Amino acid sequence: MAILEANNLSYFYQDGENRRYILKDTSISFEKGKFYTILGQSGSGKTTLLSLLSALEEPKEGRVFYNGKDLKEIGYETFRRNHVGIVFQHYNLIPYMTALENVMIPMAITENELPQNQAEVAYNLLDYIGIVKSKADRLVTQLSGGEQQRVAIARSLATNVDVILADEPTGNLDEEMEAEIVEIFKKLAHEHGKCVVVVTHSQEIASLSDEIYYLRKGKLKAYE
Amino acid sequence: MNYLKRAWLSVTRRKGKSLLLFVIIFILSNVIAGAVSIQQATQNVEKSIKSKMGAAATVRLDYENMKESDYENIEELSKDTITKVGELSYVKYYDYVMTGYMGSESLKAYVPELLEEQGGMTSGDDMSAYYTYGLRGVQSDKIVPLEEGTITIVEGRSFTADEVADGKAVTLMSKELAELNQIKAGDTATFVNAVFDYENNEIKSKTEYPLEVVGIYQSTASKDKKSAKSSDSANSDDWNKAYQEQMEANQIYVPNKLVEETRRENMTSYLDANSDMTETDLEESISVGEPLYLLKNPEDLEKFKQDAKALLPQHYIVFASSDDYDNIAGPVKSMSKIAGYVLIAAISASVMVITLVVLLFLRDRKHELGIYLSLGEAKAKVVMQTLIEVFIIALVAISLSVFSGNIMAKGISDTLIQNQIQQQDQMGGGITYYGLSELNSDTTLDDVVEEYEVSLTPSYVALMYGIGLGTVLVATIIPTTYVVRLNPKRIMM
Repeated sequence: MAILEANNLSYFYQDGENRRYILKDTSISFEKGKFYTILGQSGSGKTTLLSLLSALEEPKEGRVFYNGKDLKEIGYETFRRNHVGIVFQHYNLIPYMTALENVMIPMAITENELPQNQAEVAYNLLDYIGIVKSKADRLVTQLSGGEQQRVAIARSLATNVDVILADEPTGNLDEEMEAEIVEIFKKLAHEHGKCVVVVTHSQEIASLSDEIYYLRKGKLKAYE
Repeated sequence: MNYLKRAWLSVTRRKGKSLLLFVIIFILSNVIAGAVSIQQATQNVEKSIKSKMGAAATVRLDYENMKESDYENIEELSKDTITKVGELSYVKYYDYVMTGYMGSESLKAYVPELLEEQGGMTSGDDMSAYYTYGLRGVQSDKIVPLEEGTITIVEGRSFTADEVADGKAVTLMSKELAELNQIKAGDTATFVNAVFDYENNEIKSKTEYPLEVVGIYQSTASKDKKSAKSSDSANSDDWNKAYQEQMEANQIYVPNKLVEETRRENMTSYLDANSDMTETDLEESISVGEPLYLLKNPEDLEKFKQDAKALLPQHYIVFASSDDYDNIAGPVKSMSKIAGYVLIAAISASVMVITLVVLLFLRDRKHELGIYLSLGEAKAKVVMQTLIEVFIIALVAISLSVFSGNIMAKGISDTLIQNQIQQQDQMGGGITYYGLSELNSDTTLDDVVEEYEVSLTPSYVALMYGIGLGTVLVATIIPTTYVVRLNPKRIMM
């Protein structure tokens, strides 16, 4: 059963009497335990689709469902708080906090039940992702780009969510780092049963995923 | 990591911005603290001085607020009304005081040294000589200043009830006047009531009133407060003091009926010259007096004024000895007014400046706030985080300014008071003296200035925190509307 589903999603900008469609009548569903990529050129609507799936934006038409429930019903803020982890291209970490503190932020926000020893959980998460304790206690500005993106991934996992959505997560990284990050995503999907959706323009990443979709002129097609 | 911890980290890790906000709030808080200190000190001194000024009150016409047309419809203050006011629970006792004037061809009037330079009092057949000695009538043998201890009998005795009831020819004389004229208790002093022909500006007739000096009194309050002896060193307060000293020393206490007698003489002559006046008008004008109320507690004054006003005819008000505080303490009141304006200006400036600074800081942190919102944090909690960050800094700044502002206020208020005193001396003003001595306080501006003290009191501290944190709250809430309008998607993607 699909954990995340988009039905007839449309998003447009109103230009007087005309509508400029970014997404038009797009439908897609995602399952747990799989690693998806959505490919598309710049301006194809990938980021818009991701923002709709992650409840950062409300669709103009159509609906998004999580576990069969409309996101509107769940509440967009609540969905982001409890059910989805988002990884951004530019890491989006709090610069004056340590890696550990950044990972612990969503732990205080979520309503999901978490273990008491949150710091220990956070350290373990970071370690799993490849950030050792000594680096976890450093300010994130003292880490490399790849390390910061790992911290961002750890943060997205901190609240024990089932869905990870990533928008060009390797856009600012070199090839070596890119490969490492993709490996992490694969592991999360195949070994931990997460639903991982990565939006990217990289064919290399797409080739390593389980399912590929191509977004062109606001329409989504399965890539064969 | 909840919003409280995030707020703490933000304040402690972003030291530059925190310090900047601290400096801004500290400076503004000092101005507010200074103004609050001065206002508190002036309120305290007013309360203290008014309490010392005593609780005497009278009823008189509200001349300041009366129009010309009102004078045609003045209702006389009846003895019944005076009695009703006197029976209010706040009143310890009351008297009905008639006043008048006489001269004397055998006595020398008391003149303070300062006024001797002006030529002292007139003498001889000049009409003004027969206004030299003030008659202070009493309705009962319980003479109010004696009961209150503001005068004491130093030789002889006070009046008996019969002497007052029958209007006997007895008097109490001041020690200054008695010593000047070598009069002892039991001696007779002869006073003269002159009836004037105002048309021809001459004395129509004179009547001698030989009065037995049954007692000699001394004022206890003003013993140590004589006026300056020379006009070179005298200020406006000294001149006013000298006139009061003269007035009080030349005042004799007599029964009201004796005052009535002198008035009847004067008014009969007036009646003969004015056919418009009737016998009834004559009797009414002869028996006019001034009520004097002594309250049990000076703090009941305002309540007494309110309750008495309801009993009085139109245009009458209650006037109290402490009402002269505004005249005496002019410089201190002016300073309090200035402090009030400064306080309003400082609060307004604080709100504007802090609002602007917080807004600029928030715009600077747009990305960070967007992160919290994208993680599902409620906008209300992001707003709370901002408020707490500002409050942490404000609490430290305000706590320090409570002390520094208070110290600053001490220095500034000393300078301000001196400036105001100089201005008052140039313009004149100061104490106003009234007929009844109970309404005249010997409190001077020096007393007020001496009592004035800027201090660190619990009420000042509480007020300072209240105003300071309240101002910061208003100034911070306004820019947080910026947070409410943030769109995390536009920030993050």
